[in-house]
Amino acid sequence: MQYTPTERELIVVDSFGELNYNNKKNFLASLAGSEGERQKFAQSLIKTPGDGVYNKLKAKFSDGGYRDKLFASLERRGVFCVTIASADYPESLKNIPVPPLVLYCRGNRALLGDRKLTVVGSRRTLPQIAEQCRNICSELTRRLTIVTGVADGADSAAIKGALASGRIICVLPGGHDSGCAAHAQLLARAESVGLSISEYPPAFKAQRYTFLVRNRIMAGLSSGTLVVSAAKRSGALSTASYAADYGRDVFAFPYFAGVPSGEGCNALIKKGAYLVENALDILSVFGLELPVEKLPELSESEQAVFLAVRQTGEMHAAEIAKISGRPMREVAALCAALEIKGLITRTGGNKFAAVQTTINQR
Amino acid sequence: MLSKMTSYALVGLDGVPVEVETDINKGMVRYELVGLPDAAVKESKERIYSAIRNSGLKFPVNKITVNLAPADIRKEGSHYDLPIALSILRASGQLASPADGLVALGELALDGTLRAVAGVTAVLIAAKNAGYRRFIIPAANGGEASFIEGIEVYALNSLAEACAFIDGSAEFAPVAARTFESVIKSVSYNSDMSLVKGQEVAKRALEIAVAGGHNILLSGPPGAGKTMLARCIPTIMPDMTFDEALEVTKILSVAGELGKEGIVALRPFRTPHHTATTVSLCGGGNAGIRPGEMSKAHRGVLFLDELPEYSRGALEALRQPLEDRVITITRAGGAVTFPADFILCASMNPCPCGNYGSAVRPCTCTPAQIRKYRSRISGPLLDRIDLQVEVDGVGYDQLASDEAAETSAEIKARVERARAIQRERFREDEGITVNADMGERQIKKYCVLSPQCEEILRSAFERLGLSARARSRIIKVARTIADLDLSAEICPEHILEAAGYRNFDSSRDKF
Repeated sequence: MQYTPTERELIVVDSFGELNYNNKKNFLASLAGSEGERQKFAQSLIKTPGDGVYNKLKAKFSDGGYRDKLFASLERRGVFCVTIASADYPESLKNIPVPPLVLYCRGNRALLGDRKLTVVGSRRTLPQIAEQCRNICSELTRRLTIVTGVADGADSAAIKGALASGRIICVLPGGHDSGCAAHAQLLARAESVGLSISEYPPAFKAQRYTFLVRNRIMAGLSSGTLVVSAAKRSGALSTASYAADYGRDVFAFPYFAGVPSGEGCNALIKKGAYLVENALDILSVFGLELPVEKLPELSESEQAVFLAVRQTGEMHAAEIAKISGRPMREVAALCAALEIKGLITRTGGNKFAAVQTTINQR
Repeated sequence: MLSKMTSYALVGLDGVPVEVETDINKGMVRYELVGLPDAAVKESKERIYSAIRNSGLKFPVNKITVNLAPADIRKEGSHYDLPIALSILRASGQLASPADGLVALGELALDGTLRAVAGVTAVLIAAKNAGYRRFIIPAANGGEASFIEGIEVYALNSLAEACAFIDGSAEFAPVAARTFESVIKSVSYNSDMSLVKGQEVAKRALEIAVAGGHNILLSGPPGAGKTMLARCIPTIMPDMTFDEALEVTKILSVAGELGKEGIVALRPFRTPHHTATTVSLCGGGNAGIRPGEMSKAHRGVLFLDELPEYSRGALEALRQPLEDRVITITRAGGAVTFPADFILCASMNPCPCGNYGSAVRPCTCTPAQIRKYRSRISGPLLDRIDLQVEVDGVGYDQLASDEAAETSAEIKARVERARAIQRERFREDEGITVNADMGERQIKKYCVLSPQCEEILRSAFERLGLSARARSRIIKVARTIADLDLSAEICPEHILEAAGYRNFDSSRDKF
């Protein structure tokens, strides 16, 4: 990977774990500045890492061996860096208060320039919502790139939906090789077609606070944030509030009153987030359209079962049999058929629920 | 003086004739028992001594040597008491007539009465094949003898009766023959499908499982009725044939678990507790290898409640018998093969707290916990379970309703019809009787799929995230569903219904 001298300096400075975000910025300024400025900065460092540390870092900074080792290690891990000085550093991320100096990336660099939507949600997302999230993400990828995390539930569903198109960016809460992803396999698949980003060097272990700090990058990268599911207290809400702070659009799925994993979403809608039922609700905000698709062909009996499930929400197989007046075995086959067509999904305990998609709303 | 009596040793489910030789000579007074006897056989001396004296006979005061030949087989069990006692009596001249061609089995009580022993059915069958025709067994084992034709079995009460029988001083009638049909009519299962309220999905799945001999996994919250459903499986299985019943009886007789009836007419339903060790499931033992739960469930149902709680070793041990339908146990002393042809029915909770998918109680598990819980069942084992269904809680209204449900007999009739179709289909295939036994070759031959069905299968794989190995399972189940439908072809709806019974596979993707 070829870097400009400025990029190289940024990457080297970013590798100094002893420095905090402000120190790193000042360190660079001091190197460029006059002797007086250097002195002033060295003084300020006495309170934090100290003068001795400063001198050590300075020596390290100009040490060619250290640099070679650093870049070789990045190369070996297959990680490339996009710095704030790089041409393709996302403009939208530059506009946030604390943009990361260096983004450590793995995968398809071109995705950084795409128009993006962040999809976040709780780990405990209801099965039908997860399915809906998956569908909506796969539809959205025809126009947008999906940004998400790598947790269970909503994140995984979003990744699965976007995988086929390859338009997926995962933002990690720790370094690439620190094992921070709940779904290592899913992450590997996402990296093979899409992109993964972290603001931390590859070996950096995720801490509790890094999840929250990471949320600002997710919100900052994209033009909007969709909250798929969120309890009253949820990390997804922190991403949404960053997005609102940065002036990006916030979208949320609506829920029935009393669903624990949806209280946060409903609260967002009350505060003015866009209510989202299908991909079009999001695309229309950005002035985008989707080509019209036809409903998959349904037989008369499939149609009847589908409509029944859609009208009442979650429904037990025995109820479906009762309402449609068909024997259990036929209902089992019909439900499997609709499941395969992606119109309904199992929610556990032989219950089925309709999945909201663009096509069945038209 | 030297005398000989014949008895039998058990090796697995087979019997080996054992000659009990006794020699009484002048010399120092002592009693020697040789021929690899185990502790129970060695202790027989004290029982025999008392039994002989309490039967009004004399225990010789001389040098007595008893040999159990062949001397290289370990002799186990208490059934050598009677032959040893008879042979001592003959050697001491108290019993005049020879007892050639007579096989004696029985444990002696101190007062000389005969007590029941294990393995009588197995011995009778083996000895009959070896050409023996006359037997003395304890009266309590008489029932076991009444179903075996072509032999004369005398079920006697005491050592004194045995002596009188051999001497001819008293007349005894051999055990009267009974027909298997008469027994089958007199017994019935405690459970019935009509007593299970609701659960239409699970009942249908059980019907398919039994019709095609498929293994089944029931998952559902605690108290949903998984065990009750499982107990109904034998009630919808076809009645056992006499040959099947004899196989089962032999196993249980060797295990010493045979009831008074003397034959097993109801299909076995075994429920080993989840603390069961690998050996208790497979069978084992050092000298006399005994059948385990898998063999005791032969021709019936092995029910493993709370499947993830079983030790990993025990679960992995199931894999080979599920494939081969027999289990071979190898020990330093030799190898024994027991039949183990059963339907595996397993049950489990959907998640650690048990409430996932419950309408009433919320599930408190995280996806990671659910994933961990479900991963305790290995993929290879899951691959041998063709049907995976959810059992859901039943509401109070359903419990209280009087709505008539189908009885086991009605379902059994359909199952028998489907089994008949399968027997016809596999007439030329050695060792295959039901759809579940089909290998890839038979699937190719008997389960031709229309392009439409292929298309459905393909999209099912993409949409439901099924594993490649699930494909043949789905096709086999679809074949059974088609048989239940009396349809020669596998239609799209059969494939669809079969795909619906793989929800453990498809839900793996969700966690």
